[in-house]
Amino acid sequence: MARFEIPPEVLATLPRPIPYPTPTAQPFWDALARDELVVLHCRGCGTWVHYPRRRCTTCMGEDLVWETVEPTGTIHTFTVTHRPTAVVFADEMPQVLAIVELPTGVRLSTTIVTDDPGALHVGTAVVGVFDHADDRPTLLRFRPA
Amino acid sequence: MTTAAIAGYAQRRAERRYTGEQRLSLEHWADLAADALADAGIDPRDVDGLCCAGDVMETDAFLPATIAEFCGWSVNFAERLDLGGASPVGMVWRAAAAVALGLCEVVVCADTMRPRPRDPHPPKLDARMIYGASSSVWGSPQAEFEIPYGHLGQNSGYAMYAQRYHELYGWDERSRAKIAADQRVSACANPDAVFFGTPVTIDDVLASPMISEPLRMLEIVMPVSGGAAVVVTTPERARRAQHRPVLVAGFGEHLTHKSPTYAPDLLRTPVGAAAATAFAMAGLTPADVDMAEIYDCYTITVLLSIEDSGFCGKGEGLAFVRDHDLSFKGDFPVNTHGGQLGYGQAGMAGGMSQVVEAVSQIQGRAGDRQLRKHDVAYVTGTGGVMSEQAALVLVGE
Repeated sequence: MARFEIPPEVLATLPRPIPYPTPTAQPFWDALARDELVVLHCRGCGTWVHYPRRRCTTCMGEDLVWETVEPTGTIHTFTVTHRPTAVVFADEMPQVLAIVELPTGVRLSTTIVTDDPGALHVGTAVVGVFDHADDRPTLLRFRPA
Repeated sequence: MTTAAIAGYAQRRAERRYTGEQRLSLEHWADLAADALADAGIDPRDVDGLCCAGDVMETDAFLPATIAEFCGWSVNFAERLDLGGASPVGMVWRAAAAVALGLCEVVVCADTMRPRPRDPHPPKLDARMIYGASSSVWGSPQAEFEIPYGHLGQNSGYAMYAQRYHELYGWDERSRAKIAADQRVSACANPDAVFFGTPVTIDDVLASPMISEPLRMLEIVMPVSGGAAVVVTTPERARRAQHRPVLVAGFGEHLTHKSPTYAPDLLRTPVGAAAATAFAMAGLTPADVDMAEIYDCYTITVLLSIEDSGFCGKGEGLAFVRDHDLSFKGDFPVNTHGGQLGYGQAGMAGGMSQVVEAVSQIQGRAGDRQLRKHDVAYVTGTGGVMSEQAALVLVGE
C-alpha cells in the first residue's frame, strides 16, 4: 500500500508536537514549570488520578485535590526505538520511551534520559528530570536514580 | 447464541503494489459486498443491514447512510465501528446480535483498503497524516500527555508490552519469533498471501532489523492493499445458501483504556474477558477449538492472546509456542492463512482476514492449507495498543 510520503521541504517546516494545556490540567503544567510534580487525589475514595480530570476514575466524584508528590518512581516498562515513532522525532534517536509508575500507583508516559539504555530494566528506580524550554511547557522526563 | 450465521465471504488478494483498477473506496466497498453476497447466494435486494468502519475515504461522517444510498439498500441496522483492528470482529457480533433480535436478516460487513484514483484537489497536509491514528486534537489526553514525548503509533506501544512480558516471564525470544516463522509456513500454502513463496526461519526473524526493542521487522505486519467482507444472516437463510453455515455461537468484547500507560494491568489483556464471554455463550472451552485465528499485528499480540484467551496459563505462552506447531500442519493451528504477519495487513480488512479464514476453513474451502478437523474456530480482533479486543466462537453446522 502506498503510504503518504511527506516531502522533505514540508518535513522541515513541521512543528515538534508540544502540550497545549487544557484548563483542567493547567495546574499540572504550572507545577512542572517550578520543578514540582502534582497529582490529583480523590478525597471521596482515595484514588490517585492521572492524567488530570474533573472526576475520579473510581467513584466519579468531583472532590479532587492537587497533591505535591516526589518525582520518583520505577520503570513499569520501556522500549528503545530504532525507528522514530514520527518523523519529527528523527533527531532524538534512539528514544527511550517509557511508562514510569509512581509509588502511588499512578503511571505516566515519559522518556528516560540515559547514555546507557542497556542498563535499564523493568523496576529500575528513576527520578524526575524537569525539562524546561522557552517555547513549550516543561516536560517531565526521568533518569535512573 | 446460535441464531445467526455467516453464509459467505469475499476477500482480495494481498498486494504490496496494487495492480488492479483504482476506484473510489465506496466502489471497492460495493464490489466486496456484491461478491460476498454472490458467494453466499443471497440476492442483494435482501440486504437490510450493514456494518462499516472508517476506511471509506470519501466521507468523514454519515458513512452508513452514504453506503446504504450508494448500494441502493434500505437497512434496518447500520453501524460504523471505531474499534481499530477489533472492528471486523465487532462488526460480526453486532450483526449477529441484530439478526438474533430480529432487527434484520441479511447484514453485509466489509472493510476495504485499495487505492483510489488520484484526487485532483488533494487535501493539505494535516496532523492525521503525521500522527496516524493517534489523536492530536487539542484536549485529547494523547495530544497533551503522550505525543509530546514521542509516544504514538503502534510499534513502541506493543514493544513496551513485550519488554515487560519478557522481563517478568523470561527472555525466550526464539519462541516469540517462532510465531512469525510458523505462520509463514501457512502463508506459503496460501497463494493470496503477500509472503506466498517466501518462508522464513526463526533465525531470519531474529536477524531482521530492530524496530522498537525487543520487536523486529519480521514481527510486525506488512501493509498491503486488499479488502474483505462477510455476510451475516439467519441460520435458516444460511442453510439455503451454497456453503456450510457457520454459526456465530459466541462472542465477547472488552476495553478499558486507549494508551498502554493507563492499562489496569498491562499483561492481563482485554481479550481475556472477551474470550470468557464468548466461550461461555457458545457452551464451549478453549480445548474444543480446532483453529485459533488470532489478530496478529505483532508477534507479542498472538502470545498474549493465546495466554489470556485460556489456551495456557499466564506466563506459559512462550513454552506453549515452543511445544506446539502453529502452522496449518500443526497440532495447534494459529492463523492458518498466514495471519496478517504472513498474509499482509490491508488496513482494517486485516482483522477481517481472520474472520474470513475461519469461515473458509469451516466451510472446507481453504485449499492447500485446509485443516482435516475444521468445525470450531476461535477468532479475535485487537485494536489500538491491546486496548480494545473482541472474540468470536464460530461453529460449522
